[in-house]
Amino acid sequence: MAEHFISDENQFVVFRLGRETYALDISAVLEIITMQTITEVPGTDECIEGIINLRGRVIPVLNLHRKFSLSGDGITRATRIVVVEIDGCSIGMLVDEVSEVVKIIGNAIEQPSEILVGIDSEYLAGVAKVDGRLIIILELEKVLQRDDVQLMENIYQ
Amino acid sequence: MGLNLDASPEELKIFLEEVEEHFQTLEEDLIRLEKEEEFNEDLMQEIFRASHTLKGSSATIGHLRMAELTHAMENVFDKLRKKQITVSSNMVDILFECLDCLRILRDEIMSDEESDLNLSTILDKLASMNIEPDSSDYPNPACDNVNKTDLSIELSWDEKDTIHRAEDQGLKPFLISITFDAEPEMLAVRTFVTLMAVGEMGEVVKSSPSAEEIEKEHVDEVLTVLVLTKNCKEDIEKQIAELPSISDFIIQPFEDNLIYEKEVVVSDSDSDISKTKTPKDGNTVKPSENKNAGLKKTNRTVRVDVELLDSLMNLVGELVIDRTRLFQILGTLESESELDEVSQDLGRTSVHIARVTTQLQEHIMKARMLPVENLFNKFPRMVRDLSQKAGKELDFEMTGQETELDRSIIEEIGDPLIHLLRNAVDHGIEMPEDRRACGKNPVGQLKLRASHEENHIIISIKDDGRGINPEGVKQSAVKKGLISDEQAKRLTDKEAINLIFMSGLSTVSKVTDVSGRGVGMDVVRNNIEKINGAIEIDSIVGQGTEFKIKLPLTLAIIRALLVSVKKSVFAIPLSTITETIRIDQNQIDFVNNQEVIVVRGKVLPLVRMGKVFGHVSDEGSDDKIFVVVVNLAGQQIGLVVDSLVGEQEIVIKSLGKYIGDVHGISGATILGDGNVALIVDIPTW
Repeated sequence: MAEHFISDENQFVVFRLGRETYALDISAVLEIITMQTITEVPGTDECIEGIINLRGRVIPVLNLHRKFSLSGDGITRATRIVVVEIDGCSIGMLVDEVSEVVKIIGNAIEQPSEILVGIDSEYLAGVAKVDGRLIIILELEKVLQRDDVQLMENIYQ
Repeated sequence: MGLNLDASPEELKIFLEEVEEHFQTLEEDLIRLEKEEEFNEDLMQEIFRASHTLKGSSATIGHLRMAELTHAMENVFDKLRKKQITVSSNMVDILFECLDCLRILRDEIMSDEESDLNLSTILDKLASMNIEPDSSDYPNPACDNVNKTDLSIELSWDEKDTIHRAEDQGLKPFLISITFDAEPEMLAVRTFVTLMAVGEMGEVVKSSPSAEEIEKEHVDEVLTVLVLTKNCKEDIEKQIAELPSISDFIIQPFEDNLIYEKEVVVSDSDSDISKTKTPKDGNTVKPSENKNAGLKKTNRTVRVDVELLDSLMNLVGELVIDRTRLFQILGTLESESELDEVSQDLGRTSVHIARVTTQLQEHIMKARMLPVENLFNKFPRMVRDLSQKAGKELDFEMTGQETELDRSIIEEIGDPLIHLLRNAVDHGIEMPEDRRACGKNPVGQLKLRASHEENHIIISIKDDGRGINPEGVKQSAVKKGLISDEQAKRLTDKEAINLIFMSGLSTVSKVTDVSGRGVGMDVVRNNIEKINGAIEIDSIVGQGTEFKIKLPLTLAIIRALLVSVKKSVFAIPLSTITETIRIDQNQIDFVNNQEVIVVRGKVLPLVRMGKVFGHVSDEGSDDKIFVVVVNLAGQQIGLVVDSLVGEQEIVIKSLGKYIGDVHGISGATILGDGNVALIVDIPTW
């Protein structure tokens, strides 16, 4: 899973969810926007927060707290929406705070161990130690995959 | 295997467009040919011309098989034209088969692969119609360029231009047709000498055969020359009469074409694009007015990729949203304080932008419009084949082909229409003997009509067949367990007929290869409702059935009523709304534990939108509630909402692949304040 990180250096967008620090490969991130009015869509999975208007486009927003069953998902001034792109689809992800962009060398990333992190290891690409902090690197495709098989078909059709 | 055509991709593109037009003309004309009992000279000429042009252009691009087939067809048409053979139903069948083959050959060009179509069978069939496919004059389109029965010559745009300019200089164009003596020797030389002699009188714009062709000895007994000269007709006559070895000649001023030419020039300079006609229209100009073959009305159009139009439409959609937003901002400014000069200026500019946006929206919508003709054109042939197969006689009539619809709607509506037409032929119209027994005309009537009605297009399919028997539908529905006996008894006739839209119901037990497979009317209705359309049936047993399809003009922008439920705003397409009413809470009754209200004697079930969309159910403390009455599959229901926000044009956006289909929601739209509202999808409830 993590083989492609091994040799080179990659940039990651680092953000906070609850008390943990997470990161996403920057190449998947389109932009980071401030909190918007989110329109709830009834009848959808509970981890879908709703839809927003991104400059005339309607995009879905995912609530990562609920996705990872983390506690506390209050919205504060620091709350951001990280907009990522997967297979031509823009999707927003609600995070508590975006802190920085860091460079992580491939061999600094280790396979995740379940003792280290609270969330399901299937969503993880690895764990990196940067300046004494632990950063959990997310595997975007897995995060956006829902239990629903239909959904993946929706995306990959 | 590649085709090795002798043409550039650009030329092929033009060829393909042209060919499709000619196919269409031939198809329409063949149907007319079969129908019209009397010999119609104009029609024959049109058919002959279309096949002739096809032959010429397919030979030009080097598609030999196509040229071969069109050549054989042309021979048949030629004999028909000269009344050497007469039209029969069998012949029309074969000619239609030829058209199908031609389409396969045309597809070869697109795929650049030779199909395994074997032409010999069809060529034999053509030959069997008392024709010798005389290949001696092929390939030599030059000889055929002269149409002996009427004086004509094909001109290029440049040549027309030359004539037009010459006219300003006081020169007059004459069309001269010279027939030589029958003796065949030295025909090429004599033709050349004659052409030179005519050249001395003035400027030769065009001749057929041309000078080059004459040099190659591709000559005929007839020479047609278009000449620009200062001389009058009598002078020319005198000079030509003096030329040697001429048996006959005709001189005719080229006036008709010039007037025609001027028209084109006028419409050319006219900036209103909508006035220039499509090539299609040019072709359907009555043949009698268009005696001069080959002169097509030219137009000033540009071909645009559909994707570009789609993205333009999206951009306009965003402008529409911003327009609404601008006015909201202005409203806020106004309510906060008296407007200062800058704000007033902003207001004026906003009004202007709004006006331009509206126009832009209209024009882009217009650019996406196509006449339904493109779709309807397939139908006469289809109906003819179906009725022949079923052994039924019928008269198929289409009106309103010029009605325009958004191209995406035309794409969506094709299948439902085919289905309805097939149903009408298969199940609607009775066999001739049955019709006679009922005292009806043995020839059934099937009418397809498109028309404008306010902001909608109505397409109606009407037959005078046996009609739909409500009892039959009821029984069939009960038998299939779709409804209970009890329910069946309570249904009105209209409701019973509407049952045919339920899935899994087909009233005819016999399955033919075209309809009655059980996939049917429910799919038709779903397809129509998917594009915000509606379908209605009127049927009288023994007298016939009429299906009326109501379609929006465009898919991307619709009018909707915005309502609020709890804190969310929902958009309900106006096309589904019958009315909105305000009632007292205590007017609500209960039937079978279901909330209902009585409106003008009719019982409407009530649905609380809040509950449908999973909000905590509270009955609301207000004494008065708003009810939006909507049409749900031919039945009316009342939606209870908290308040009405207003009516607005909305731009439909999809929820995206990630969310996928959500029950009861067809998409989202962006409101003037930048927030997103969900569009309620009534038909899926």
